[in-house]
This record gives sequence, structure tokens and C-alpha cells, in this order.
Amino acid sequence: MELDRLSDEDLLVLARDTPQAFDAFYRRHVHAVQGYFRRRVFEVDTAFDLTAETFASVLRAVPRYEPRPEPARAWLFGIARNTLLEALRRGRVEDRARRSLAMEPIVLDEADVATLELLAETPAIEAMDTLPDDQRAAVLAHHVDGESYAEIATRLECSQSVVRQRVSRGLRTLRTRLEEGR
Amino acid sequence: MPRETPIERLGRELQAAAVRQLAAEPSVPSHRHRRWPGRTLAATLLAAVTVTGAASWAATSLLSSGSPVPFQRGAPIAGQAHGAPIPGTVKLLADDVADPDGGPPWGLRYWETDRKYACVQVGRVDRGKLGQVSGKVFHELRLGVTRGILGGCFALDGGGHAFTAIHTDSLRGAQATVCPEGFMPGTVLKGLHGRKVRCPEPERTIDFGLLGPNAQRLTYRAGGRERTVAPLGGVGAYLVVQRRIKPVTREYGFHHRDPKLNLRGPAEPYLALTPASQVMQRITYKNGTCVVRITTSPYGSCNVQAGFVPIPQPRVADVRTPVRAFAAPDGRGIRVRFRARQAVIDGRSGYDIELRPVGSRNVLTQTYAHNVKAGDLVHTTIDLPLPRRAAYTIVVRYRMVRPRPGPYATLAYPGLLVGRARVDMR
Repeated sequence: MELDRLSDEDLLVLARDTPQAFDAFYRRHVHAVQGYFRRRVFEVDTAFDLTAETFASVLRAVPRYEPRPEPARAWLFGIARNTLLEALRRGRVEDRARRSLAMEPIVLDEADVATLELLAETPAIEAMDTLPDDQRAAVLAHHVDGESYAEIATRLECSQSVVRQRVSRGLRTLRTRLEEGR
Repeated sequence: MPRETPIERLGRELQAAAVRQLAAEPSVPSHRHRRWPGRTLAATLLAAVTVTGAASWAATSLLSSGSPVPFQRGAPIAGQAHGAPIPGTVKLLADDVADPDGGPPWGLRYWETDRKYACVQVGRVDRGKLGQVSGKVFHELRLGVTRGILGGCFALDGGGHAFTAIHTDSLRGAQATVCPEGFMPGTVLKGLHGRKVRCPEPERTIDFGLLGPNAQRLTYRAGGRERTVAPLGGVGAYLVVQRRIKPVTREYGFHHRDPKLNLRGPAEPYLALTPASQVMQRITYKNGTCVVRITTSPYGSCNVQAGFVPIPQPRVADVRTPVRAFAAPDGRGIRVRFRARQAVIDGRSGYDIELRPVGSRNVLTQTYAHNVKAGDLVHTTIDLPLPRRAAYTIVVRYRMVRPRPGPYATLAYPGLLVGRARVDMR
């Protein structure tokens, strides 16, 4: 079965008895979740800690997961938001879910932090500041926040084709600028 | 061998944890299922199928009263979110729209709120009340319920009128179609204990909206016939109910030679500022007739003739004022104070307060979305997510909907600069 072609909801239902399905769900959303935290906390390692706790909480909830009217992605980000709020309330990132799953703590060294910084702040992100506002917003929303075209179109009050066009133009401009900068 | 990134390492750890979890708990204990029968989607769908399947729609039957349709986010509050209804603006504009299969007629209620929204509810009418019908039970739609139903709240334009056009499917009891996103109606879902549950097929296609005060006549097509009627209530309200019709679809993305690979989706928007569905045919406005065509534009097809009055916008000079900021005594937040020169009297504007550590691109934004009078002192404390000893730049902006916003009328970004301040937490 090609897991990457399944919807998020199908992956989560399948993950109840197929660990690979959870891995596919994790790979699909980990960068969006890490980006979500990265824009809300100042240290990249704290963001990673929150990401790890969020996915551990999701994994714990998988046996009870039932498809709901809202998309699974909204459910995932609901858990991410709760994890963040809990961390803010307590002043530290909890590791309850990871401990209950007997997960080994991931200790980050300098190189790991640099890698995460690199993933979060590539030269493309730097170059993004030079894009026109509408293209920058569309590229960030789609490629960094992981929002769908439909979600962005609703939020920006324009059609999906306009969003696609802005993303496409934005990426083309970025590519040109990055190639010029080499 | 390339070094494993932390993201990959976390994925490996989670995969191992998933295997351990599965080994420890091979199947979901049945008592867990029993705990939630009322909360799962599957059960909801089953209930909906059962009750609608057993429904009897004889016009003479008396409906018993059930629990009212709940407020999904609490009852409306004056001065917050969409605001509370203004007494005197509440009108049941239609209460006699016939259902194709008989039974209680359909109706539309309209009201305005203290935060400059016009709200609409659509439902079935029983003994002068608007509601939803399940089987022989009538569930009242109380004033202010606008989420999860046929209806919603829409920002007023500069002239104090709302424009909206909704084209959607529903059940015959006036419940908005219950189907998870991404699932086509009729999809069979796996329910409790392996039982298969069918996501209910929509039974009605509903078009309703507000055409504004300039609309004089509208022509719609329903049941194979065109009809021309006058809009209702001076706000251009309309409501068309018919048996569910096939949606118009169009191709999205790349066109492939193999038609099976082409992606098709709806061509008619659920919500637009003016009509854009196959049902609405022509609208006669004071300044011309608009022939409705299907478009995915959020403005619909009659934007030119509708007479939307642009919403007045303040200038930068109208909002600029000194901003002061201090570290909160516990060091975990920043207090921000400024005197609002521009009032926030409705949901079409708000103050945004942005915190940014000096030298960092990370930013924390909080919207101060309460009503504020011009000249009032705004003072608020923003909690720092994970405080650190650094200098912060505070930027306050006044955000407002665009002069001609789309149907969702969200606040435009970035807004007008009110002022800046700096706090040193070191």
C-alpha cells in the first residue's frame, strides 16, 4: 500500500495497527509543526522539544482516534497548541507523553541545533523578505505553515488559482535570487 | 554515512514507540468505545441517518419540541466577536418557502449586531419558530446560533448593508450536511465495532443570501422552472429550496490525457459576496441587471452592480500615538499602554500588538479585539511565551478590513502603524 497517497484521516485510522502509517503521518507534518513552534518560541531546541512532545501525544491518542468533521490536521494542530499552552503555563516543556511511551530523550548537540536552524532558516527564508507582500504571505503559508491552497484562499479572500499563482511566482523569484547569490 | 538529523531521529524514536504501544495494547478496549458513543462522528452520522430515514413529512403531523440547537461557542456577547443582536433589527423575513416534499415550510431570519454584522439563519418553521427537524422532533434555532447551521454573520459595508450569497446542500430537516471534510456525501465510513455507517446524502440544495438594498428582482431556476421574485425585507434577502441538484464541477490542476487522472472539484463557491451558482440566473439592481455566471471569485458575479459601499479607512495620521511599554513586575510579560485615537467599535477593526526580540525575526502578535472608544487608554499585558533576558521592540498597528473586503471580511495585514516602543528585559 502506498501510504503517502492516503489521506491524513486514513493514515491515523491505519496507524492503530500499522506503525508505518504513523511514520508517514509524522513525515508529512513534522516540518509544519516544527515551523509552527519555531515562530512562537525563540529557541530552536525548545521548538523541537515541543514538536517531539506533540507527536508523542498524537501517538498516544492514535488508538482512540476517530475521523471527525474537522480535518485531522486541525486535530494535530489543536494538540500542538495545547502542548504550547501547557508549556507556557508551566514555564517548561512537559515530557509526560514521551515518558509514558518510554521514549529515549533526544539530546541535541551544537550540530543538531545548527541543523534545525538550517532547516528553519535556510537562505530561502532570508530571501523571502525581499518578495512582494502577497507572494511572501502565500509562499510562507503554503510551504512553511503547510496550509492547503483552499485554506489560504479562504483566509486571504481570493481564489485558489490566485494563491497558486502567487506561490508559483514567489518560488520562481526566490529561485532566481538564490541562484544569483551563489 | 550521512549524519541523522534530529527530525529523523525523532521519527525513528516515534516509530519504535508505536511498535511498543501496539505490542502493549493490541486492540482498543471495548469499554473505551462505550464511553463515547454520543461524541463520535460515526454515531452522529448513524443517528442522523436513522432519524432522517424514519422521518415522516406529513403536513398535518404535529412536531414535538426537542432540545434547541446548541450554541457552539456560547451565546452572543455584546462588544465581542460578532456581537449581540440589536433589538428591533430581528426579522423573520421568510416563513412560507415550501419544501418540495411538503412538511413545515422553510424560513429565513435576519438581524444586525452591535459589532456591525448582519446575521442570517435558515431553517424550517413550526408554530412561528425557526428550527431544525429530526424525525418528528423540532429543535428550535435560538437567536444568535450561527455556527454549524445554514446561516452565518457577515460584515456590513460602508453604507450599513450586508452582501452575501450562499449555495450549499443540506438535509431535509435543515441541518447543514454532516460529512467530514474530504469525504464525498454517501461515503461509507467504518463506525463503532466495525459497523459501517454511511455519511448522509444531502437531500436539499439551498441558496440564500443578502443582495443589498439596490436589488429589485431576482430570477432563479428550481425544479426545472425559472421564477422571478422580489427580494425580501429591504436588505435583499432571498431563500431558494429545492431537491438536491448535481453540482457543477470543473477541472483543477493539470490536464492529463487519461481523464481518470484529472482532478475535478466544485465550480460554484459555497460563499461569495454576490450570487455565483447555477441556481441564480439574473438579478436586477437599481443600476443594471446582472446575469449570474458561475465563478470561483469570492466576489461572485454581480460585484459591479451590487452597489457595495466601500468601508471608510483611517489614515496613518489618524492612528499615530505614543506607545509606552514596561516589563511586568514578574518579568514574564510586557505591559503596553497607548491612548487609542481611532475607536474600535465593531468587528471590522482591531489593534495588533507585536513583540519582537531585537535582532530576531521571531515575532509574537496579539490582537486586542475588544471595543475601544476613541481617546480611551488601552493597557494590556502580553505574556512572553518563554521569557528571556533581551531587549524587545513593541509595534502597535491598527488593522481594519479592506475598503471592499471579500465575504469573510478578515482584517487586512499589516495595518497602519500606531507607534513603537522598546523594553529592555536584561
